[in-house]
Amino acid sequence: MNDERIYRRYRELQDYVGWTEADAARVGRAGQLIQSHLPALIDDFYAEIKQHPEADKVFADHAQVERLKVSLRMWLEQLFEGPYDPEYANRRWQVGRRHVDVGLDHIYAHAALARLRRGLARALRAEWPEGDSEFAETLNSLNTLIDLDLAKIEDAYAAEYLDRLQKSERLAAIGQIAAGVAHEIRNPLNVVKTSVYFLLNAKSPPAERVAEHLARISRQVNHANDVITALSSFAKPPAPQLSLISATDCVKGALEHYPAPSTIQVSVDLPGSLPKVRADATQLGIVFGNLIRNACDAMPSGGTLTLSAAQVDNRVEVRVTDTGVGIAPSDLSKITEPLFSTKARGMGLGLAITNAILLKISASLKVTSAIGQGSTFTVQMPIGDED
Amino acid sequence: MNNDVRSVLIVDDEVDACENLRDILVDLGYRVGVARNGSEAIEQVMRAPYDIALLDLKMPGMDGVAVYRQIKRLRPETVAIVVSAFSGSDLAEQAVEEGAAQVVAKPVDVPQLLTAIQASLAQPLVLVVDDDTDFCQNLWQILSKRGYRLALAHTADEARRQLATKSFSVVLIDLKLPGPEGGAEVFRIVSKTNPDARRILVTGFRDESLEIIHNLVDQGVDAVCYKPIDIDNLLDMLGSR
Repeated sequence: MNDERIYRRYRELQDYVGWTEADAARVGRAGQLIQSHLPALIDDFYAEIKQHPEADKVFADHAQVERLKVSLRMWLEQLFEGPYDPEYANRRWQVGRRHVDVGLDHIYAHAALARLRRGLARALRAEWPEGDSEFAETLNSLNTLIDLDLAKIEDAYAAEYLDRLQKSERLAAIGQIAAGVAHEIRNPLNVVKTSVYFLLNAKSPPAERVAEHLARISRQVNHANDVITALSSFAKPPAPQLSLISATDCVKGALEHYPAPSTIQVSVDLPGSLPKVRADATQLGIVFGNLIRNACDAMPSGGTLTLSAAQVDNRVEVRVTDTGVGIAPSDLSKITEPLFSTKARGMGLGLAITNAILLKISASLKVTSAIGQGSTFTVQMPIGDED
Repeated sequence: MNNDVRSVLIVDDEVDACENLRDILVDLGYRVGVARNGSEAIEQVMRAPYDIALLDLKMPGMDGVAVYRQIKRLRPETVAIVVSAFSGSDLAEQAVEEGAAQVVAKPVDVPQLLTAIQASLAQPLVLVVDDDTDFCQNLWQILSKRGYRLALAHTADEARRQLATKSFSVVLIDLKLPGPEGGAEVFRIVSKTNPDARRILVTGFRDESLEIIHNLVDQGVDAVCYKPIDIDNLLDMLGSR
């Protein structure tokens, strides 16, 4: 956040609590009255922090505490004297950032300031001239000013904390992607490398064996390329080319592209008479392809894959049902998160891509599942309007 | 004895990866089995022993470490070589802890893999015949880390089956094996089937069995090892011929 923005937010807060020049004048007078109490209050402030091991551990040594006492002294002087200008706001902001730097749990900043606030009030009460009726207003102004300071410190703390959290989350995500890519790319590379070794070293291999290895290399290079394509299309999905298409044709096409293994029985109920939907045929093909592949993967020892479509109100609904392993209830909310996977193969992008494609055409994905019984993925698409 | 053809079991869910290694190893004269998942691997191992198991770690269902645990239980003499796209992963570490001989990174460097296979096959094969399963497990853990391949037999019959199919460099025989003749019977089978094997008697009964021990020493026992076993002493016995 830049200095100008920091000050603007500070001004907004001042306006919000109704801070005026009269408040500033009252605080200035209070500062003069309690001048002699400040050293004792500062000592007490750090003595109290030292009582808490969690807070104390952020201090490197005695010399650092002494330096901080000087800073606190300056902070108090500025508090009472102002001016409450951009530089003032910026200094408060820096305190919050510094707390993130040193790893101070912010609960201690609040508690320590509350203690200081009580000390200041006590000192003001002790020094207050008898018969002066402005005590309550003066204390009120001081409290308001401290609250503003605290809000500013808190604002900086939250912003800095969030910033660092996002950075570390980004790094974690990169690590996750790297691990997924490593696995998905090294496997095809492994096949290519071992095929090349065979072709170079085998003692007089028959021609058909050589052809087999070349086909294998080609297949695995394509596979590696698909991995990269999936990753980049997830990172930057191409804009859909919308047209009126038949969802059932799309499902049939996907099934041809990803045929179920022979251990899986396929039951199809895809009436051709359903209204068309407005979607990108390629992208919708990816959606159904992913759902069909997932369904098959969920049935490693065979089962039944059921593909059905029907009109429900003003929507076309496609259901992909398997009789497979099912999804744990705790995983259900995570399955469309990118990089989440329960499979040995794959990066965990399939359903994330599926969801992203469906959102763009105002369609939705619903899942029901029971462990050991299977899952049903339902895609609901709005009926497309004729042009 | 069918010890000339060395055997390798390839366990990987990636069909092409299996087929490639099969082609390469068959070309080099190995007997090769292929399993696409853990349960297939275990079935294969129950049907016939393999010298080496090449294990992929990340597979649907049982992972490579779980597969190795089962193989080790069924055929502890099988040497595991892990082939993984994540060579530094927790699973790879677990596999090594379980006793896998080596981890080879994918994409596989075939000459490196072949060296690992040959090194595993060059390890002296030791048969431990003892009805004390804990003692067998302990010896397995210690000796497999010292460059020995260990087969285990808990009865004279199990020992007979092992001795009929493989040539061993060393046979450790528990003198007090259950059965009318105890370890003496195994001793005779070894002399018949594996005449070149070094025969080491293991016994916890020093005085009572002295006569039997002397008797067997006369018949050619190479060394006697007393329980509790001094491992350094045993390693010396295994090392010296």
